[in-house]
Amino acid sequence: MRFSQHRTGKRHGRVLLYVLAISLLAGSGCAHVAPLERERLAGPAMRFEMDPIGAGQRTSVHEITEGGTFPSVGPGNAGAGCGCN
Amino acid sequence: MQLTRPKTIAALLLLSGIASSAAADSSTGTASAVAVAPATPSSPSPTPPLSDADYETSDYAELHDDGPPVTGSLRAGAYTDSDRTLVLRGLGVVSRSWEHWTLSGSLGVDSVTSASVDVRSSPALSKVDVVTSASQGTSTSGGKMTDTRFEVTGGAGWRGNSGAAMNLVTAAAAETDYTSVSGGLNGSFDLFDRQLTILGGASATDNWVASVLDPSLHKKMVAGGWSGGFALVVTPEDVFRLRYDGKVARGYLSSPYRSVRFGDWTPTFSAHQIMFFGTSGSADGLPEQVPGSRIAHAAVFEWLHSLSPSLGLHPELRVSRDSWNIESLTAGVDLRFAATSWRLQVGYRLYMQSHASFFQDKYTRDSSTYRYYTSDKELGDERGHLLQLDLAFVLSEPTRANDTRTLLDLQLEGAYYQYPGFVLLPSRESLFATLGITWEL
Repeated sequence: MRFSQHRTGKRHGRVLLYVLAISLLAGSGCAHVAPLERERLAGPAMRFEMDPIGAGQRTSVHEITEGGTFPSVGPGNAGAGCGCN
Repeated sequence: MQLTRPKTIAALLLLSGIASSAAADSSTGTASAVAVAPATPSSPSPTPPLSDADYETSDYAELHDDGPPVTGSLRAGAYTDSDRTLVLRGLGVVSRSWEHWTLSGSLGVDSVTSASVDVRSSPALSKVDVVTSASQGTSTSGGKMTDTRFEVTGGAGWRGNSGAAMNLVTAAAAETDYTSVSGGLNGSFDLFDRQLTILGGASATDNWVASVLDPSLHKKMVAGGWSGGFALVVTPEDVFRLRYDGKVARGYLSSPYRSVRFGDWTPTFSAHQIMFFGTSGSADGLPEQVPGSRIAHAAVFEWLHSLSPSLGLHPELRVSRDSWNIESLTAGVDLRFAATSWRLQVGYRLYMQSHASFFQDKYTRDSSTYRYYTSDKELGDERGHLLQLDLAFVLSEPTRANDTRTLLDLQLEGAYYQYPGFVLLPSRESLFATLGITWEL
């Protein structure tokens, strides 16, 4: 390891703080978009995963072939993974 | 079986991909397999854009229907690469929806044949044939292995009227030397007239690792994952999604088959075997040793931009870092078009990764001087370029009530990965293709 566990822990904490800060900024700084203005967002092309099954399979290949890719457990993503190396 | 990393493609294809897909879209609680406007319009992941009141009265209502009550999908796929690995897969997924609830399940079978560098560099080549025999494979040639993996998943989803949604996903998988069970819970909550959706989830996996070369080897590995983020409607044409993902794995994280040679060795390649000359110590090397825990963090930013009512652009950026000091950057973009009876999506993905702190192309000193060592190329420097194509179209539209809608979809992904400095495999090309058919009742 190039860094101590202590430093790694502090870095992990900073990542969490950044995500939280960006979330708050984004949530408070954007203009309201009324529901009836969101017609364009309702189309199937505006889904993050147009084909959830296919997207899941493809992501799973990346998790195997890429050392830095691992499954997300968030909505719309992997709910479980074997975590094997 | 975990003789080779590509070997486990089948495992994760099912375990993470299908388990999630079967009950994936927490903002709807449905398991729509294909999005082709407008007959099967599950809500977009970011947030259903209409309030409940609008939903009841708006002309857009049909675009936000919760989808068909019963969906079945069959998929056949194949993965092949220049590292002599072939994965064939069959998969079935079904789901049933009621007012607020969805139940889903899947069954998958994967057949894997590999003569990858991991297999051919495995020490005591004759034992590779033992692997083949143990897994009841048909191949008897040296330097090749086969295995079959089975997996079942089940999921339950709930979506309330107030904008809250939850999904529970479970999975169990078994192959010759690897068994795992998993469970995950994720959910979402809409705020500010559904302009903002908060996302979160957690999962746990228990794994039992064995070895066909060593009947006495029984190892455990547990893993946990967590995720949190939000999706935000920014303009009438733009949605952002920002997510943080974390993962921890503890226990046996090595492969019982992968060996590390020491010294300034040189390899010679043949169809069935890779020989190592000039090693210090045994030419068979030692089983790899990696740390007993690994913690990883990733931040993912996605942007969906509507270019027209049926045309969208989806850039994505992901950065990650783990406790093994692997840092990665992923940048991708896809263009998607969805018409009434067909859908097309084309994309490009760039992947870059730095090596683990203990990874070396060659461990030139005596083995006793190293605490950790590996010959896993995916722990070294890596670059990847991927091209993706998805095409789906409606085969038959319902003409009356209780008719079935049938859809056909094709998915292709070509990939080119480089492993700078990895002597045994400088690069790898692969093709992953699936063909699926979906019924919606």
